[in-house]
Amino acid sequence: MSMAIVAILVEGELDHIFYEHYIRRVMGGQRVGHEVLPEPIRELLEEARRVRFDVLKLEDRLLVLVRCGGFEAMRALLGLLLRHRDELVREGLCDVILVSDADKNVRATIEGKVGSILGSCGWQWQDEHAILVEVSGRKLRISGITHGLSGKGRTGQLEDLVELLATKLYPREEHAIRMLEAELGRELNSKQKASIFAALLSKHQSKEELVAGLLRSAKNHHLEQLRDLLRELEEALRP
Amino acid sequence: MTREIGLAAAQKRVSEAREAGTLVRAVRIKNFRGIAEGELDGLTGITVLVGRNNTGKSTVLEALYLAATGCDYDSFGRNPLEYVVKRRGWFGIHSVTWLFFMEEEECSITIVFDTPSERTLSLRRVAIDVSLLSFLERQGLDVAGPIAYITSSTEGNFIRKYGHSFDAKGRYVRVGLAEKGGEPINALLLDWELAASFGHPEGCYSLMMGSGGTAAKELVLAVLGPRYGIKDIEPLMLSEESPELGRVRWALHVIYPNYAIPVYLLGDGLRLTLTYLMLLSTASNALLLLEEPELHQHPGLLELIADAIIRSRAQRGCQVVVSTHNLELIDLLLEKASELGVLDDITVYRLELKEGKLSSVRYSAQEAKELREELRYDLRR
Repeated sequence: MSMAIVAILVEGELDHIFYEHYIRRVMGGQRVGHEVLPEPIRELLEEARRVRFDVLKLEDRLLVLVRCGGFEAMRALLGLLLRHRDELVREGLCDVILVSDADKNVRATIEGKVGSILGSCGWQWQDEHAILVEVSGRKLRISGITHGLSGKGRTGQLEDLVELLATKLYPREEHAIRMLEAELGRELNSKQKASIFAALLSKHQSKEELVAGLLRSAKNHHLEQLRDLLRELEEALRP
Repeated sequence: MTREIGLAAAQKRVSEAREAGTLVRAVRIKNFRGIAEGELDGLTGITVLVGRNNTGKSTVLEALYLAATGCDYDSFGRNPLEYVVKRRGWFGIHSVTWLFFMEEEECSITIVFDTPSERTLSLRRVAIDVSLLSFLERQGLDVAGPIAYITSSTEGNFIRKYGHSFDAKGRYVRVGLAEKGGEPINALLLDWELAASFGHPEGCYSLMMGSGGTAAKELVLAVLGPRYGIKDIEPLMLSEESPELGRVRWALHVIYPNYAIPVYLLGDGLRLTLTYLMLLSTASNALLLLEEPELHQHPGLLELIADAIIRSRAQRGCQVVVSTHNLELIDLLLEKASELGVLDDITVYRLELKEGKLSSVRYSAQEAKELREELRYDLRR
């Protein structure tokens, strides 16, 4: 019996690194090679040449974390998975999770793509986040979750979480940023702050490197707080 | 030697046969070549077939060619069944029996139109009786050796029944058995073997002007002109005479604003492409079946072919089914179709063939474009 497979589609490189480290560090996933994936699923992703993906094992499931290269590309990839649903579901794919910034309407995107490919039959909303697609007697669940926070200085993007974690871990640098804000006479948003943290803390001034470092060095109580903010993801990953 | 009975009459019938706007929407195949069973549904004005080798792309084109023409002569004067049997090479009577999946006795191909109506071609291997043998012998077949005989019948809004005989050397005779009502569709299967078989483009030019008229030439010029600055293509007298032939020679020329060059002086690629373009543009309101038009083509010339394919649909009213292994051609078709406003008329099918069962994944033009642009997805997979 093949393992259940969950595809997690994320937009860009930063999201990819964040969730890869998050799933490993916080949820206990382990990175495994591409070869554990059934050939049709692996080939389909490899033939989408702009896509990069990693495979993680989490309990009795394989998680395929796919970096699509933008929200439009994520939408296109969802369409591709739906076009090949018979073959993919037969090979074990049971869940597709789209992860996007809070400023995107991921629910409408899923509904639009499913409707354009399947028409009005063979699918229904399971709850406010997920659609169930009927595929040859099996179910394929497609859900959308968003990350990012709302409020002053927040962008609704992943940088909100990055900045939050960096602030907890590096109070001195956070103090320096506050001094800079005072000097500038205006508040910076989380995206700008994350870039400054990256400039100060990472060797190559890259946000990706910063994210990997933060999730590696975070203490358990920091991670618990992050976990609260990403409850949707864990719920979506629950069998 | 090939005997072609009633060729001229068939060509005349076929020339204006297809009603403008009628589209083949689906094809169902049973026991034909490597396909035991399969169906493609939702064909559009331009259908692109992709897939790995041995997934049935050529077989689908051949099936459409036979079913649409009902094995009657096409407008190039070819007998479709003979062409299909021999185009992969002649290997004796086996070349005929390989038409049938796993040497079955019967196969069928059904095409469904958007009118809606459908037409089924059945091919059946049958034994030859003594009276037929003596008839075939009189037609020049070697009846002392092995003979293959199959009957075909196409029914629906018309009935055409023929007997097709091949001897071991590939000599072919067609016998008309019955005809009733309706007309066959003008379908043309174009491959590079056909283009290469025109040793001189002059012959192809005559065919184009004879069958397609000035509209066909205009299409060729619309494709060639902007890229190469060609104003016209015309047969012109050569300056010197050839006394050994006892007549003045003429040759097809490409005409630029200030000078003209005989086509035989052009590079091989461009000359062959010109031949292909002339063949392609000949068809009007026809079902055009193009097998791997990318062969021998530099990407620059491939753009001309893509342009001509789209124009055949947009300006000449043809329905085009094209098989390809080339992503550049797919991208060019999508791009040219966007430019000419017929993008929604394109569909891409990725074929798979497992144990004789044909299956497919169908992409709309918008989807194919999105997958190519956003993911650089290899549609041929």
